[in-house]
Amino acid sequence: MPVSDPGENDHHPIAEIDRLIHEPARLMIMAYLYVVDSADFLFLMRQTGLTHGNLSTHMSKLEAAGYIEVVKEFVDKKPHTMLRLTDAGRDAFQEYRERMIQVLGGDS
Amino acid sequence: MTQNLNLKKIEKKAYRDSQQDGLMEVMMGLILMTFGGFFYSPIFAFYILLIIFSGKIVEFIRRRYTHPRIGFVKFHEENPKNALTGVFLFEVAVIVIMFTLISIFGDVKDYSQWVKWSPLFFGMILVGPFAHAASRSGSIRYTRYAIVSVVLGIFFSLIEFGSGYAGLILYLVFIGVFLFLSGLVIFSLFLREYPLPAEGAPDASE
Repeated sequence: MPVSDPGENDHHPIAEIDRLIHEPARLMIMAYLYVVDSADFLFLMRQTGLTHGNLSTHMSKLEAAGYIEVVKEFVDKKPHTMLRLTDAGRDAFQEYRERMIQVLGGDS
Repeated sequence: MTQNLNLKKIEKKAYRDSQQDGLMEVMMGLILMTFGGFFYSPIFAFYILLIIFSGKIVEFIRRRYTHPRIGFVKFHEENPKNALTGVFLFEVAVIVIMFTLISIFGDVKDYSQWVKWSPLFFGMILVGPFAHAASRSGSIRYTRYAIVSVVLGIFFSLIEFGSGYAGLILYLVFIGVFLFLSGLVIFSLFLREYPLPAEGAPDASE
């Protein structure tokens, strides 16, 4: 009786983890934007504890992936950046959560 | 990281931090004070205007003082149907409790008994918004306000006042002043804890 190679045939959920979201800083940004409607750059920076440069870099990556929408505007002649999860980002985050529950067994 | 990724905790922290300026207490205190103070006054219209524009006033102050310090966040809107049902059920529960209390200590048909216990009635009504804020933020501060509003309600209900609504008016002014001053203290501590970022500082914007 042939024994199949588990790595070959089993489609392990960890293989389908979205690596873009899996990075801790981006995961935090996505999590914060998931629970709110929208937030500005300063609020996210304070909540996540990320530096300006870090948040800016991760924000660009998430925006490029279409997971977040970034709106730059001027408020009282000062630049103001608003961030919001897109529908695709919301779906991706939801899927990421489900995959992680599968991977970790969902007991935690 | 694991504990940081508890979404409920994240949501509560975001809400708690967005309310850490104490401005809601200031506005709520102002509304209650004026409600008590202007109950029989011809400038009652001022009170109506205050209620109508309270949200705008808080928003205006937050735009100038809060958002430049801690940023701005907009939360998902609550389902108005669920909110109204919750408010309705809570108020029915308060009326039932009041009815039971007055039945035990007096006569429910006696209007003066309802007037006498009206501070407690308002105290229990105030528990609603405080409990809601406590459950959304996980902050003990709102639980304390709820306890104070009920305790003061009992206190002002038990004191014998000569004229009709004196107990209620004094209660509203008292709880209003308490919330107003608490809010002002929280606001001044907030301003001290979060100084304005220097002009052009990288965290002022993206």
